[in-house]
Amino acid sequence: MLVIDGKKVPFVEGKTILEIARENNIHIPTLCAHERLPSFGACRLCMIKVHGVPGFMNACTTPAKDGMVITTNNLEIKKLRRAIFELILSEHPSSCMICAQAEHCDKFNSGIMKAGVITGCNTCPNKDMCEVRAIAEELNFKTIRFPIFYKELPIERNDPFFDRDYNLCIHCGRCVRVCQQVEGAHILVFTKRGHDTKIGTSFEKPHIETDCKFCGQCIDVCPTGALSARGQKWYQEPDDRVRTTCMLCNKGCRFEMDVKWGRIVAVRPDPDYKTLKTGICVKGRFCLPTFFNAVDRIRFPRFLQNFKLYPTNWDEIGSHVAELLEAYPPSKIALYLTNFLTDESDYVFRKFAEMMEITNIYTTVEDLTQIPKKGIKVLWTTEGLPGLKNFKTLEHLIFQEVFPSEGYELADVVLPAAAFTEQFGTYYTQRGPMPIQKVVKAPDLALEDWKIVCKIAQELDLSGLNYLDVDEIEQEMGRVNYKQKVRPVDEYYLKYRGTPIAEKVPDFKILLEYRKNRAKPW
Amino acid sequence: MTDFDTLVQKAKRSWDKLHAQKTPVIYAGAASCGRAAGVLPVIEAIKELKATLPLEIVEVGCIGPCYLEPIIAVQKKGHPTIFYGNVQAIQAAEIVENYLVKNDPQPDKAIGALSSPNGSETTIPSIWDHPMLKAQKRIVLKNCGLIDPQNIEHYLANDGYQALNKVLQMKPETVIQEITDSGLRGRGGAGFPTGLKWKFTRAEKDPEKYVICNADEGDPGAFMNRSLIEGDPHAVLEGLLIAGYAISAVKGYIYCRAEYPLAIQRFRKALKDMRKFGLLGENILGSDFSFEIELKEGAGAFVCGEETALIASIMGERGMPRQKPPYPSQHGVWGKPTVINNVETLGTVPAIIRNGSKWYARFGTEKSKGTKTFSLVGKIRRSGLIEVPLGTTLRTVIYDIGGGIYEDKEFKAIQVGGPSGGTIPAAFMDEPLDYENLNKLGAIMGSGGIVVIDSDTCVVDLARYFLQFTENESCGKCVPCRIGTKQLLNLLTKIVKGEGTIDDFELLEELAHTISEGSLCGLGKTAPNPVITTLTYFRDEYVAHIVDKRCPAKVCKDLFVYVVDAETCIGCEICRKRCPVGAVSGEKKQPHSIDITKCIKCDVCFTNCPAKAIRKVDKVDVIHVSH
Ligand SMILES: Cc1cc2nc3c(=O)[nH]c(=O)nc-3n(C[C@H](O)[C@H](O)[C@H](O)COP(=O)(O)O)c2cc1C
Ligand code: SF4
Ligand code: SF4
Ligand code: FES
Repeated sequence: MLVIDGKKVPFVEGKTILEIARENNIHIPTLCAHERLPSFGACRLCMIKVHGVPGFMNACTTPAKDGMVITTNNLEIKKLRRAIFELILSEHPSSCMICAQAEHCDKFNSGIMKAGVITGCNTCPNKDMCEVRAIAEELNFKTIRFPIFYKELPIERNDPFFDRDYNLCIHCGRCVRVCQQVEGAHILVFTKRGHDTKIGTSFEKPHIETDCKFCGQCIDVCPTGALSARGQKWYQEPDDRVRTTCMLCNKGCRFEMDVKWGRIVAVRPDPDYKTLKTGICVKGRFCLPTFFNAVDRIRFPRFLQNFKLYPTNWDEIGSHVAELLEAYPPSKIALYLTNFLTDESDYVFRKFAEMMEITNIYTTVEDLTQIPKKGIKVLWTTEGLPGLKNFKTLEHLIFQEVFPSEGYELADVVLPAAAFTEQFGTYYTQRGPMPIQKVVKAPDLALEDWKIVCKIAQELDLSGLNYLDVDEIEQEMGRVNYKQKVRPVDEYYLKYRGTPIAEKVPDFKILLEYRKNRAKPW
Repeated sequence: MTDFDTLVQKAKRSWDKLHAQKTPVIYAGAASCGRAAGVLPVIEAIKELKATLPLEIVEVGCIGPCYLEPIIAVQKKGHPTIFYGNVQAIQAAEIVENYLVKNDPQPDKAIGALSSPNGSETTIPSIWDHPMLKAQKRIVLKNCGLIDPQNIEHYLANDGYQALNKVLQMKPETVIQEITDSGLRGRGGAGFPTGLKWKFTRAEKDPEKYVICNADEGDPGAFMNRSLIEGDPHAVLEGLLIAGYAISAVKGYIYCRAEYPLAIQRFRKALKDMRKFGLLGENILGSDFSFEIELKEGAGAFVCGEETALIASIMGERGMPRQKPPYPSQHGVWGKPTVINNVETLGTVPAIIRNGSKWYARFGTEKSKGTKTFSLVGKIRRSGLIEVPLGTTLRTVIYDIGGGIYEDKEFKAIQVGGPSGGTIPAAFMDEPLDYENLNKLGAIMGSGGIVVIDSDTCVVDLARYFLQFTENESCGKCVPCRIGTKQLLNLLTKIVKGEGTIDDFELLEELAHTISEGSLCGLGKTAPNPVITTLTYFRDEYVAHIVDKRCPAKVCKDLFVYVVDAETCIGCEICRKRCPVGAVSGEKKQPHSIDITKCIKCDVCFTNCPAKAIRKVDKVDVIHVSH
């Protein structure tokens, strides 16, 4: 038993005072503590008093002891806490926090102004999420009695994916801890000493020159606007936050995605999920939003007429494809199933093939060598493929994709597919079957792969391919005991379906080119 | 007879032989302090004598009176050994020859003598009656300056490793009890009872335990640990072995700052010899006790002396302290229970074991037992390294040992404990120097650095100097220390520039409180001590700076101007010729004058005026300053 602010709370062996206080809804202001990280004791905001112990203790590192009597908020503590926070504010661009016109200003300047240098909250992209600002509000700060120091550090903008403005840094050490103790990467360190101590890489090298993996975890834990993902930072509070599994490879990393105006604007690891030992990668963390938000997504079904791909609706394209397939014997038709299909879509495709008696199911580029041997006339691919024009037997190409990738120019039917962030489903990964969640709506008429198959099956009058949702498919897969396996897509696979990620994400291209001589790019 | 007895007998024989030999021996104080004073050219000069005069040179450590360095002692068979001070290379050969060849002991140059077994009478008093040494009680320093630190036999011949031999026959618990009973407290700063520390660590369940010798000594002006290592490294290592035995440690570390190359060299040599003599490694002296010692070089940051930072540094991490608890005794190097002790603490241990805890506890006061070394520097006549019983008064230290203030100026204060310590005014001269009392006065023992301050020192400027040091040496981890010291320094800088306001008093006090209460480690917690103590004892000087815009000691350059006193000026033109900016004008044999708008306060005129006609006058008295 412990007593905190007069309240009796249960003692738990091995926990810190802060942890026990939090579990019992007793609020202690903190800045350097973070639930995912080992405690550090640097900000000194969590100062408390333990009865019988002279001086103050910090709650975040002090192990609780049975019988402790703790005060978290008397006058003396409040005074010390304010004094310490005042020192933080004297070095963190805080003019907006203490401005007498703050309320007035917020009314008219509700957004954030983009500016070359962040001088206060109104020019800081982190305004709505800033933990320093939250504490300033909690402690009701109005003045700073000390001269304000702006550190005048150069803003680091030379790396791909992120900007780093250490003038905003409060030295909480969260980024260093996540880098060293969670990622095991040791890229971020404390450098220099004394008052000039700062965070950075050893020898202040740009991150791209170090072994930085661009996992972005430092950005996620930073309580200030010091670290920000470029291109993901001016969105303020997201409209929605959705968690899903990454399908860019088979590791099964979990993400939380910020949604604003119907678009994914930021990605971070699912806070409730331990990522795999190697952590999340740059593809998921940084490339994903830019990639799927790229303007040239395939949005409408199209078919070739007068040498042009005309957009159309699903009814028309459905009957068009049905007619086309019926015109050929199944032995002349081939299906190419990409490794990026959800388990449900993969199953539906295979069931469709079985019903249509199509046995030519390809899953690798090597399989394509079968085309001339078997005299395949119709290829329905779910992935852009190289070298299709060399196959002279091909008369029709049904191109079901997210982007107009390789082979698109040969297509006479185009079917717009939803990306994995735009659908529900399951993906069998190294950690087993993982749920895929719909984060945003697919663009225009794009549809889940299985739904496209169902549309066409309907036109072909195939029964048993008429599902309401993925749950129904899943149940059926269970009934027939369908076993999915891990697709051969590792972390360093650089495409999504047929599109190289670097093609849509310039920063990723920079990274790959800069590190082309390394065994692994990250 | 055991192996150990054989070792000792052999060592004693060669020690006696050295002292009874026909060939004269020159002992040269060649620790870092002696080298800085120029002993190496002295040794070279004496070596040249060898061609004509058979003699042997032995490099020893420092005996303490640094102001007399370079010091040599000349041993001559059948005569007393005589110490000479301030020996310069040009006269070295002459001094040696005069004694050895011409039989002239040169009492004018001698600082003391050591009688030899059948030495003849001399008028030169014993070296131990030298005023700087007489009032001392040398326990930990007993061998310093007398034995060759590189020769393990010298140590063995002087009771060395007796204590180790003794503890190997004792139960570890008994060893700890002995140290506890002696009342020995940590000499590295906080004064934690050493026996208790060992006991706690021993009580931890984890069988993998470590001992660390903290040889980081980062206080500016402190050099007692360096002197001890350079003069008697085996004493420290014996203490480390005993600590290792007492807590059943698997390994010991020495963490020594890289800026102490000679100390590191001494340690290296000593470790090599220990291994050769069976005092390190497997089954030490044939017992079950096996122990390894690894020497680590620190990068020389002040904060790396803090135990948790030091441990991080040993493990290859940045030297950043972490919050205690858990203490190193629970969670130290490699996460294992660890004892960390200062060089002097460990160096004292063998003497306690040899002579017993009762003997040691006789020295010192009720709560501060034993002796403590202090480095005595600043405006003092006899500076150097001393060892006195705890509880000795400042008066004894400053006047009896130190010989009073340099040039007989007014004794103003002492600063004890370096940047973490405090300034204690002369009024407390009769206060005993011990842990409790120093804390009561707002200072700390620290590692024992004493800087003596006279009336020419401005205490506000002194506080600013120390703050500048801590602001630079902060590890940058926690807010109160990293930013607080910067803001405190900023306030002090404002005050010494004459830009302080009356509100600054409150801010100074509050900020000092925030830093000391809020900081994570001892560096931050003690950083405001120089400010707090000067504010307490010399508030009038702050008032002078802030309200009157005057610096009473005439140190703060923004607050005074140089003026020529026309009545004293002899018109010698020296200042006019020397002034780098041409601020002085005046005709030959006529009183000169200084243009204060041009003057850059380089102090050239002031220090060079033969008539002492240049005065420092408060700026407010000369020009009207509006504020
Ligand atoms: C900033 C700082 C610097 C320190 N530097 C030293 C040092 O140079 N040498 C030392 O022995 N102890 C130093 N200490 C004290 C150590 O943390 C530790 O208390 C000591 O080594 C324990 O040994 P002892 O019990 O024998 O004194 C320092 C403490 C602080 C806070
Ligand atoms: S960059 Fe952010 S996370 Fe890193 S230390 Fe600074 S404020 Fe903390
Ligand atoms: S008090 Fe100073 S040296 Fe100690 S942890 Fe804090 S910043 Fe580092
Ligand atoms: S939260 Fe405890 S010191 Fe920062």
